[in-house]
Amino acid sequence: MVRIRQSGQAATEMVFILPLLATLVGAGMVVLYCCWQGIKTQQAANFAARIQGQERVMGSISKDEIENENGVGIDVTTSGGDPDPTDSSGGSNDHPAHGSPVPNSVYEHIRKNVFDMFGNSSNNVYVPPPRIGQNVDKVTVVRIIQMPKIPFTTSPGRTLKLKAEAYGGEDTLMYGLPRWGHTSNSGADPEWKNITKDSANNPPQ
Amino acid sequence: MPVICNCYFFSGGIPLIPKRLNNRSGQFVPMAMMLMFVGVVLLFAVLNIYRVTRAKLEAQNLADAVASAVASMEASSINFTVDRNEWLNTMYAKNASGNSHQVPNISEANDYNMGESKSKNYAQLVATVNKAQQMYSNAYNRFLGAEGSATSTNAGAGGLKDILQQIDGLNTPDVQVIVYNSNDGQQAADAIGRIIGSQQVPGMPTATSGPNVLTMMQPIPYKTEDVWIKVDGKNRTSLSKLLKQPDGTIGWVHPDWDDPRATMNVKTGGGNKSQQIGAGAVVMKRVHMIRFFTDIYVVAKASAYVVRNSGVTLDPNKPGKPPAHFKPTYYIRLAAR
Repeated sequence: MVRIRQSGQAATEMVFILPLLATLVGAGMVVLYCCWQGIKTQQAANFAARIQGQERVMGSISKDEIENENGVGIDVTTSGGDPDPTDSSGGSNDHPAHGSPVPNSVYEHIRKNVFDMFGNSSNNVYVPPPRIGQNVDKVTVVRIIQMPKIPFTTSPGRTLKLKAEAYGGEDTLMYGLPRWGHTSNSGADPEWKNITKDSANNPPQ
Repeated sequence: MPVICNCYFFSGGIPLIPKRLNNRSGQFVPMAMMLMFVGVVLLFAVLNIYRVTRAKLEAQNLADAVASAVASMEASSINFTVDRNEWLNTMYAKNASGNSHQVPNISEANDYNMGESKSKNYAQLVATVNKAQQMYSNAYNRFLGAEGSATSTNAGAGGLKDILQQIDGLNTPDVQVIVYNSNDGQQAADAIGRIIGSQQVPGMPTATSGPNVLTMMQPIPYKTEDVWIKVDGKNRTSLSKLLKQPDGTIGWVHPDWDDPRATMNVKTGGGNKSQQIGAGAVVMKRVHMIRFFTDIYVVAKASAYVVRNSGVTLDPNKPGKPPAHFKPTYYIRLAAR
């Protein structure tokens, strides 16, 4: 009687199948992480747009002052702000250097808040200067994720660029008038904040 | 791998399990395949959930931006009108010495005694300012696409479309926006939003360029309050009557917060619902699902309102009377959900 031993067959199959399962689980984890980061990027953009809507000024003693206050202007756009890694005209650099916006400007404020949302990953987050519109501004947030290197291959891991856009810059708390930034008499706060405080302290009778 | 099935489960050489049930060949492969299939399906589901969640966030931001932008234009219109009232309160410097041609501030004109000629001139002056207020109000209504405005590039629905065009996220056939500023508009927009959200309408109307905007805007409601003066110390008459105009034509102008035609029931910061001048937006966005799944639509709503007590157009202690000074300081807030 010939007896063919088959004990261990399942183990043999596992040797082939388990790596596939592990790869699937790994891919699932990566997809989950990327999806989570994509949603977080959109939330950050929405939040940044809300701040932009509440704080950007349209009035001051000069055009330079307005640009300084907002942190966005012709010069700032090209030299002071973060680059947009998804902008193909800027080359194929996946990790461009971060910019350095005008201190205490609205742009720096939204950028700091976005970075705070991402914590330790903020090195891989870019907030290009907002695009100022007539009524509504556009804010962009880009999160770069370095994809894991595939084992046993020589190709480096690719980068995933998650881009989110949101819109703000409406007239909130502007009294339907241009919102003024700092003036010679406004002190530490911009003029619009002083007006808001004055309004809150002296409500209509 | 062996294909002959002859595998008994031995325990000291004694078969414990019948051969039919003891066949273990290929046991792991089907289980693993099922696991992998479920895993792949789950991955697809996760990707689709991600797309829908992100589209929801995008649509909500778009709705907030549209509602705020339109409501802030309403606030601008109100501030402009109220500011012209205040012009009529500051025609003379404070404590300026009176002269025979001096006319009263509009807030102090009630029962002011003037000669007939001077009364008519005063009425004409107020009527001129009223006309400017009316013209600016009409201009804002045209920008907002309120009824009575012919649709063109810069007026009617076209005007509102121009304003919203700078929101790039709206300039796609996958997004449709309904803008309204009344309870009727709100109900109609909600109904359309519900239909598109639930029935997954396969195609939405597409504009040739720019955003797909459906406008349900009504003109911003204003009311002109008569000013009553005394002519030659005897006849008490209104400025409207002096110029032979219908009642409520010449005087000081204020937004009519109680006009049901162009106010909405919104939840304000305190959490209570009340009639407010404002604007609402319903944004419907088509979400392209990955293969084998039908596209769906996400719907987001937002309302913004002009904060009623952020400016002053009426004397709070004397209903129907003008305040000592008008304050054109109205601003907007997003309504609570």
